Amino acid sequence: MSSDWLSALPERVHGLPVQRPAVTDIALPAGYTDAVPLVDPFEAYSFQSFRRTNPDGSVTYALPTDARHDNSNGVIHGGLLMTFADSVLGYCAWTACPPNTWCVTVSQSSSFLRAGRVGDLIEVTPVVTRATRSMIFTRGEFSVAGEPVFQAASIWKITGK
Amino acid sequence: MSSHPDLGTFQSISMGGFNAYVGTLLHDPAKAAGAERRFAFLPEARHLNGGGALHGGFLMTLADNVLGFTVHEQTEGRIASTVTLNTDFLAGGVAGSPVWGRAAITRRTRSLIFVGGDLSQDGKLLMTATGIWKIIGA
Repeated sequence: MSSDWLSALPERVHGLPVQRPAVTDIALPAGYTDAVPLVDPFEAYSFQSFRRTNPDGSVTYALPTDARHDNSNGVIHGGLLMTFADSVLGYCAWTACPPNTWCVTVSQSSSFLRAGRVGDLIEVTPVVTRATRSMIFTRGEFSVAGEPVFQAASIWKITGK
Repeated sequence: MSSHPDLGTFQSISMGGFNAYVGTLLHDPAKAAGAERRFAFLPEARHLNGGGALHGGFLMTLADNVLGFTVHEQTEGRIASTVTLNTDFLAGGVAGSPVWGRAAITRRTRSLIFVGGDLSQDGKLLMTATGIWKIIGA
């Protein structure tokens, strides 16, 4: 299928070089507009995620799982889900960061509701639960075909430049 | 087994799938559960984030494996899976220096195992973690 999303990736975002994904022959999932330009080497090594912006301004992310993500017997590894959560909850937290600041993960709570299967499309629309002067609280419910498989909540510390 | 001098007595834990893709978890078989520096992982450039620190997802994956290995020493061959994992990020880590891991069981019921542990590097705590594993079929 189409890998047009690959050529559409920018060279840099937020002043950081965009990493070339380790696997590129991934089809753009239906209902999504573009690939997330991943700047973290561990993310580009582990997965490629996609996104769309919804009419209400929220962003929905999707991760097509593949053979890399197998824990055993075709079940998706929890480490992949936690890494995806750290990624998308981070994007969400950054929307609440004041200009000229960034934020780092202080804590993440991850709960595994049911096993995901390799090949599943994991989808999430993360939200900021609360933002204070120094901290941002985020959460996300991750689902496959509308069924929740995983949930994560994280706390971010705002760091000055 | 490993290229780092501090890892001379360590052996790799054989794992497949995503674990093997991420890298090799090492352990020192002479050490008992709960012992310091019982587990080790030598991170490389691919385990970093865009800021040059170890990625949080990598550290959570490592914690899941260190705690999970310790859990499976208590299950008499039965499979247990992570129900919840709480991870606190105390400091940033770097590539090229071993990340040390340890874990100990805090409580065991018929079907659940409660476990806690931490990851450290160069004498500094990177992460503390607590989790609950469910024994499948119990």
